[in-house]
Amino acid sequence: MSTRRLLLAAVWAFAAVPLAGQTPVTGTAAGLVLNVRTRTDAGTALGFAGSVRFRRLELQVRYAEGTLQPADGASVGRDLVEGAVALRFVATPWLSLQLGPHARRFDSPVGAERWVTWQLGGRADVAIAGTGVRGHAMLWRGMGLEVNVPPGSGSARGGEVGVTIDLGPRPFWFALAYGIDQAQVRDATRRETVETLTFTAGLRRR
Amino acid sequence: MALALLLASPLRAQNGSASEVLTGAVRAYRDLDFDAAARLLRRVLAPPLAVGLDDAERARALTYLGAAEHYREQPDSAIAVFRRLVVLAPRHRPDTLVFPPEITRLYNAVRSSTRIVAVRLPADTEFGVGGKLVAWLYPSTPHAVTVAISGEDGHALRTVYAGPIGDSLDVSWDGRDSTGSFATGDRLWLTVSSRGSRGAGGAGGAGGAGGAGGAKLRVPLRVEVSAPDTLPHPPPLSALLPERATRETGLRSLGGAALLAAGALTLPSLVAPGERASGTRFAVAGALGVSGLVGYLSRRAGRPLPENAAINQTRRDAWRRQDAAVTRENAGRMRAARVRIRGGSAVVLEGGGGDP
Repeated sequence: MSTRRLLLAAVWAFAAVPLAGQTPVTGTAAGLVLNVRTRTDAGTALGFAGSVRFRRLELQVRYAEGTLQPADGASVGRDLVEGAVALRFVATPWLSLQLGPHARRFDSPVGAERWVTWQLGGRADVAIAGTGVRGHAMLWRGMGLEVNVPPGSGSARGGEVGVTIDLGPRPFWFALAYGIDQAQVRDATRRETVETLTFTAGLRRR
Repeated sequence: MALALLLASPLRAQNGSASEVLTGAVRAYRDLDFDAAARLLRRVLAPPLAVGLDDAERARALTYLGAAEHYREQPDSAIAVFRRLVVLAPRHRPDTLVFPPEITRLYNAVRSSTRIVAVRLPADTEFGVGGKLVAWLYPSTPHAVTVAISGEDGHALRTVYAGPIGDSLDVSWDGRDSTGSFATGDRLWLTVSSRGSRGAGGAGGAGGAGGAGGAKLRVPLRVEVSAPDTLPHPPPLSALLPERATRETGLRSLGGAALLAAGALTLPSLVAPGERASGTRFAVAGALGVSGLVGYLSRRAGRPLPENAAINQTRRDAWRRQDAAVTRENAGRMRAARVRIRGGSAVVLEGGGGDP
């Protein structure tokens, strides 16, 4: 058996161990509203998010689309579509690691511009008022950035801080999060910084 | 019965001299030579001749000896002999065709005042779970008894029966002690303690026997259990969360929220230094601040922490499920267990009369 398989088997065995008081499979489904700001434009996007968790492993998906209007009011607006998939490993009840692709597309009359990056990050969760109110902070770094216009690669990094309110025995939860990421294309002066304020309302299956 | 004993005696006598001496003693008794009869009977009841007698012959010899002592005007000796006879064979009765009413009355008086129980159990018993060792108890006279299984040190491992005994009594034992575990050992005892005062003082002429206390009789048992290994029960729960807030609980909530709010405010300078960030981060920082304040106020010292209580309950439930699963598994394994009990000869420890 190769070293890689051994490593994968060890990770899987550790991941299969449930945390205390945890049911085997849980899931969430939510709708979200994003306020997106770049250096040149801002707008609102609507989308959805969902997750399925089995013991220590959680699979997250997220999708949103909207329109950004230029700040100067003179330029042409552009459509925004973004999506992300992440596999999250919950090492402890307060610390987790996640990895997954994130894609963002800007549609403008001159063509579509795609930014794709693989994000590797760590997230810390803090109980603020029991399990009902929790806060989180996450920092991630891009494992690789691909841009189609102009073609190139680069680096990216970002982070997010937010608060989640869980309505206890009811399956509803709400979250507010602030995120910022910056991507830079290598050998070019091109740099894109995006701030997001995300409001999420969802259902949880315990 | 005495007739049967008379008929059986010559056939079953293995020791010729003991049988001859007993026959001579009976002949002397019939010839009204009670001194000679008593002398011969004592001789046959003492070693080495006594070794050649079985219980039926011994009971017959004691009956004749008690009667002879009575006619020799030795009442205490007669009572002592009859008490010894009662201990030997609680259900024995002198043959009314051979012995006159005064002898049978005296014997009955001694028997009524001597509370003793004879025990008969199989020499070798083997059973599985659900099976039992059955011992047959028959008393000299109705009275109260306690039947227990005792360890080597005499300490009762389990009381099998406590109550009255009339004509006879069957008691059963499933091989377990009072905790439900199998009791094993080479020197366990089935102990029968006679108690109560029924018949005391009612013996008429048998005054000496009327005051006698109940006897304690023990039968040695050798118990072997062949059983598969059982699983250990889970260790008791130790790591439970506090179910009441302490002073630090609220401060921790406030501190955590303040740290996160500070993180939201400084995140742009960390991720995108030099960029001018918008004010949207203040919304999240404010929400975190308010949450921290609510957390601090709602989790002051002494307040219940329902989330911790819920987690603890989940852990307790899981522990109970695990414990129940082990119990079920062990019960399944123990169904294959076999118990083998070998019984020995009964020993009278106290009461029941002495030697004539």
